[in-house]
Amino acid sequence: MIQTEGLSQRFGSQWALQEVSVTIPPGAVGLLGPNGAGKSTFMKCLLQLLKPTSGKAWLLGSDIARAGRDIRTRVGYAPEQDCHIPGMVGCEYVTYCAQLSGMPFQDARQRAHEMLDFVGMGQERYRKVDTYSTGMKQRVKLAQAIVHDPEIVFLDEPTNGLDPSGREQILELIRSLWKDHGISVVLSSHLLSDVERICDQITIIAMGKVLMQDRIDRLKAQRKPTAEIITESPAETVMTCMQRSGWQTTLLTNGHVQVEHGCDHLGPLVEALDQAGITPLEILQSPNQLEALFVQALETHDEPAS
Amino acid sequence: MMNLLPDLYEHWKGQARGIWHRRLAVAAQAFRSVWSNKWVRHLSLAAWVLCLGQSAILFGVGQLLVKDSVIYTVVNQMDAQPRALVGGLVSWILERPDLSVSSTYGLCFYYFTRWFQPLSLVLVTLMIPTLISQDLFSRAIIIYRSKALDQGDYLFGKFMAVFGLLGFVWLLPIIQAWLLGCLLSPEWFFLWHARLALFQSIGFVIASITFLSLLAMGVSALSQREKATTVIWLVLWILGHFLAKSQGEDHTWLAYLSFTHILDQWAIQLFNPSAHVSQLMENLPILGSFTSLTERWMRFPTAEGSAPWVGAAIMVGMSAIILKRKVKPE
Amino acid sequence: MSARIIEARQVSRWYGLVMGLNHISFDILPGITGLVGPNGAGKSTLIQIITGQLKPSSGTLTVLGHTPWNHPPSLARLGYCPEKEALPEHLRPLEWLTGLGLLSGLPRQQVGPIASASLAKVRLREADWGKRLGQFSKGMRQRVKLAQAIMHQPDLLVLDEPMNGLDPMGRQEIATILKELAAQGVHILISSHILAELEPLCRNIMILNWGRVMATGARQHIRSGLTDWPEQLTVLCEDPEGLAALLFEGGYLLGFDAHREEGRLTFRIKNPQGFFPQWASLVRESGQAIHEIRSGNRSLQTLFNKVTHS
Repeated sequence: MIQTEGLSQRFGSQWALQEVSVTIPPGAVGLLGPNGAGKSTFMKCLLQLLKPTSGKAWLLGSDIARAGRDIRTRVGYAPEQDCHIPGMVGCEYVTYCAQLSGMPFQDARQRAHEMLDFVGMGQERYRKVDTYSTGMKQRVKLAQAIVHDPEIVFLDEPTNGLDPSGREQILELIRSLWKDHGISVVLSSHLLSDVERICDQITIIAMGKVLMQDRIDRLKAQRKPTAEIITESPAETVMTCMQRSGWQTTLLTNGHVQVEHGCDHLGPLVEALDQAGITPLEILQSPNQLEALFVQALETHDEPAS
Repeated sequence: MMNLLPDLYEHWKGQARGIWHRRLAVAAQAFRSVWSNKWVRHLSLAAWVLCLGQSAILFGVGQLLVKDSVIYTVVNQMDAQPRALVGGLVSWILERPDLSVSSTYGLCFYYFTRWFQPLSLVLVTLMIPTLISQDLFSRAIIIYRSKALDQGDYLFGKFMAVFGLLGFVWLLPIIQAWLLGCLLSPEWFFLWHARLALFQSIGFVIASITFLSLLAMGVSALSQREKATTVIWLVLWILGHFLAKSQGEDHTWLAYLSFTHILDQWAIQLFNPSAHVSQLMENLPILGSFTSLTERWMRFPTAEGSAPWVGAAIMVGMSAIILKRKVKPE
Repeated sequence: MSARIIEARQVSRWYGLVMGLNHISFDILPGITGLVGPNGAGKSTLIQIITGQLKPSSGTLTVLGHTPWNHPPSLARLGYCPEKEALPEHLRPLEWLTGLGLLSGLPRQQVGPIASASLAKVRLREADWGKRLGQFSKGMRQRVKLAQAIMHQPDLLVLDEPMNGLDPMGRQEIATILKELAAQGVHILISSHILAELEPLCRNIMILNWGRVMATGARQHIRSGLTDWPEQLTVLCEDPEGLAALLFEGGYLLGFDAHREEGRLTFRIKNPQGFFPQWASLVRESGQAIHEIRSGNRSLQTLFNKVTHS
């Protein structure tokens, strides 16, 4: 789906991307990385918003330098900033965006309304986009990104500014894009919980280089199975109990106990807790692994974040 | 009875249209955006009313040849001098239609085309805020560039919108005035002999509206603030007007800072009104007695060869540089 | 003296016909409190009243014992990190902080070192201290805003979306700083939409909706107050239907949903008190491999959903 070879981008004397060579198959990809480390530059190069200093890139099988603007009839983009084409009502705006991607007017109009239904927008579609709340603006941004039925859609912080229920709804919509409809998603976000929920692959870019790129389940499988235990008993008691069984335990910042049990299932943990007279309320499966992976990737390159 | 709810997302199986379709979409949207301003609609109507007025004048000239027309009767009731002048004109038209109609129409259209100029400039002033500054302010450029459009396509679409609007209020009315004037004239030779005036008018108007469109785009891209760009345009126009007045006679380079001066110079070069006036003077000796009129007429500003074109090229070049640098996704 | 940090009694704020807050009363206790609510719930209005920028239309609100409106001594004990990013573009961070410090009444000789110390505390890279604020990225601006909020060692820190624009490492760093401050005795009020991040920080929360307080206090108290919200668990296992049958036989079930392909069983518990101690024996009896036990009531997200939709 995305392939780059020696992709480099320089701004003045600084290299934002250094010889990035990566192959990303179709799917839901999380693009992670510290601020200013090349993540947005990478996305902008793929979207042809920036011309790379050197190197090649292929998007959906076409060389972006040669194929020119017609690739973008199959690509959607929802930028992070608040941007829209002014002076239009919602459905007019999405129809116009469809036309700009090459759809004829009749089809564009129909799909605009279908996509506005899909993102859950009701009668607000007949109001000017300038008057929309944050939630509605994010929805209409998503609608214009998928209105032309792209094969891949790039989303930059799509839940920015949304309240908890709005976030839930948008995340579910984005999840369904790949899961139910086969549209690849590249999600750039700082919220690892969102990425873990939606994506099956991650690409970590830092210091202008790709530090990690693989399927999440494969990356997680490389680590020992871990569980997070939540009980009403004091954390120290739980930790002692787990350590007695020979497992490595850590006390997390949220007061939960993380155990690297290395077993296939939770049976042994439940037994061990029961023997110590501890009642488990929740035992979560390898949560926050993405954060651990992220930290691990950065630590190997010793990069201070900003 | 259970109804199965349709899956809200369905794939689109159509064919994407070509690049011209997308450029046209940009142009259509920009046009709609400016057309929603009621003053733009009023001014457009005024342009077409003007065109009708001009057709009436040409009709009047034609009617001089018709012995039982109202105009003929009115002229016959005038004093000796104007009657003699009109009589001279009529006989000249009948004797040498190739020269007379060509000169008369040429001179008329030199004025007619330029009557639309202030109206067009006001329309451009109204168009400037919504042309590009609005898009810069709301960061729409990044949306445009993420679609299947390049910077060139976006700019071309905007150009087509301005050109289209100005064409609608300047080019089409002038062609219409010519057509009506010729069709309503009593003799068919009017159509043939007035053709030079038509070509000159079309040439002048197309050059002018292309020039003004490119300038307007450049000014519109100067700032995100709509009011600022409008003020810049007005300053360029008004300052230019005064510069042209004071410096125009001497043809100093300062005069060419004014785009209205450039347009005036183009009109003179294309229509060559002094030549038409000379023709009239030669063939209508009676005109000699109208010394005050002829003195005024003879004082057409002279055209300075390539200077206006160079000036226009420099302005368009600057506009192009501004557009290339400012119209970028952030 | 009462341990209440913020005390509100029948506070209302109207903007003409538009309602900001509608007769709300609450107490904020010491520690870290999370303020959550949908957009338009009145959070910004409430924060503006707490930080002395707005006066309530009616009712009283006291912060640390005094009404913040027009009361500089109260405001001097308050630190505020707003959501908006408007910073003076042409200044450098130290210059701005020094200026603010002087405005807050810090002694001239000490202002410089204090400002540097706060910038260091929020882990802004020394290399960036020389740049002007206009050149800062979103994350860097956020750190500077935090630095100005903590510089004068306030007793109460009010933060509106403090993690905005920060990458995952930055978010962890700020969370650690907030915990350190709380441990030192600073009271903190955080307003945020990212509930997953408030989860580890806040023991107490306040949920606003439609200009009213829906719930306030410690999370388990709120939970136990929702009597019509049965305890719900989701278990990942090999044979969800088999497990459901076992639970049903034991008389523990109020209702369940089993998804065989996904290996997931979600069920509501009849008697939580009697159920949880039996977990181990139930797991043993089922003979199945259990992969996860997750509660449907415990997280802040589920609590929020329940309160705002009920």
